[in-house]
Amino acid sequence: MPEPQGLADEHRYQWILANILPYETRVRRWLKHSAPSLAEEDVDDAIQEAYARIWQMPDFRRIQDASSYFKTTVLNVVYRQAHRAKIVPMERMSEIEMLDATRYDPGPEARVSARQQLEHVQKVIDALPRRCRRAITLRKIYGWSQKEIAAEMSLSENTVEKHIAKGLGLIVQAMGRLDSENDATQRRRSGRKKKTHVEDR
Amino acid sequence: MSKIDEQAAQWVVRLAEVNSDQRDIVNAALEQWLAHDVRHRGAFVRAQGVWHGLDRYASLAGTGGHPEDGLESRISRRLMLLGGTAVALAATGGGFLFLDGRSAASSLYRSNLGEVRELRLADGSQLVLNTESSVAVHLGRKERDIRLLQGEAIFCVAKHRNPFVVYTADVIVRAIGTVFSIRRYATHVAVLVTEGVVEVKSAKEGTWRVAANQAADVNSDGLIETRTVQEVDAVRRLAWRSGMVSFAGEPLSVAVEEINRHNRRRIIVDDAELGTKPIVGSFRASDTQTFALVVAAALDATVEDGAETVHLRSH
Repeated sequence: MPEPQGLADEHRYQWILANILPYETRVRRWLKHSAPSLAEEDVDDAIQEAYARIWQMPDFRRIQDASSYFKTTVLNVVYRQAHRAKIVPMERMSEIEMLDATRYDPGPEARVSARQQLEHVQKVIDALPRRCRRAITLRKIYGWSQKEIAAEMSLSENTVEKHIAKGLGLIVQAMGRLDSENDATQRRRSGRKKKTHVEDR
Repeated sequence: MSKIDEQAAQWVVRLAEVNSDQRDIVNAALEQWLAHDVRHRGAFVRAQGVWHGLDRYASLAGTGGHPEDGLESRISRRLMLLGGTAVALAATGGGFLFLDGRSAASSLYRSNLGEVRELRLADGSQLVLNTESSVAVHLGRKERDIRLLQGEAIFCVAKHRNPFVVYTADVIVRAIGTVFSIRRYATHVAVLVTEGVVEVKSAKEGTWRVAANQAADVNSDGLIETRTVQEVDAVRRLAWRSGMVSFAGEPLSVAVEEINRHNRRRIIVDDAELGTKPIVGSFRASDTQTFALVVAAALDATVEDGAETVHLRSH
């Protein structure tokens, strides 16, 4: 296969967006169901490390089956994390040993389609705090610079940057969890209405 | 939002805005942050992906264009269905007459490299041959006589008054109606029972009963060792039946040996230390490529493709 060694970074980001990110929701769901003793942070750690490891691949366009590639890479990360840790509860160890045998089921709907992604991103953007939404919309949809946005919104550039970063963070988070708890934004909304309400999930 | 995701988003936005005279400073600081923890790189990569994607979302949303245009992945949509996959059975010759030394006609069946072959015998029993395996079958008047000449097979034995007896190396395995598998190694014979009971016999130790979810290993001295096998391990050991191989933390060298059994294109592990690292997961037995790429990502290895071989070595 005469593939060029390595891809331009931008292409690599696009590849990850198109081929790995659409399965993150499914892989998270599989991990949570099959190894309930893993804490949310453990799942986050494993997913993040897997992204880093996939990034290191010299030419990941050779990967044909991104779904099982991603899942198996996460599985190996979880396995090694557990074996490296000094103390791992018995229960968690046996869950991890069983992980591969539990159903992952990348069915036809496993891959989040581009349309679903788009719809979801729009929902997330719509629900962002007002300034956050305005800043990121001007930056990404209208292509304004931070300076222009700062002038328009009468904010410091630094503050604009913070709003954009916050918005991006919320979108990233939502895209990896397309099914679970609907979206972070809905929770936030209800939280706003009733400040004292204990999170119901 | 996790702290790392939050920081990663800040870096992405910072980097997108930075002007040329600051670029080096920002890059250096970013590299430092990335090097600090492997998760930082992961979170950064994902946030970059979304950031780049937002341009596209933006243009799609703005123009009312179709989201499918270009965004949908270009990679093939073939999704591996773990487990329940139908294995394409290559048609092979097989089944010619074979003289067993007792002047009774036997049929010889063999499977090719990478092939999993299912056979149905006249008594209703079913045989599944793993890669590069051969059996001679003689359904005699008093005994159903099977010789496992090479490799590995699963036997689903139909109930019948005649005992079903498998001979391999110096080991004899006898069953009435049951499901078991036998693998013939260079140094020993491994028997695994998933249903019913069989009797395993070696010259040295006589007859042992091996029941469902038990395994017996017979070494070259004829010593028999039996042990209980978890159901999940039995399923794993027989994953080849649906064209898969499955590992639960075996050293890479062992996993590679298993994958190589099924393929002409061989994987070679170039350094011994890498070979000792554990690997987990299920893989299509014929897919050396995915296996090699997962190993590369999971164990910090590089993959070098050749025509006949795939080399794995540590970074």
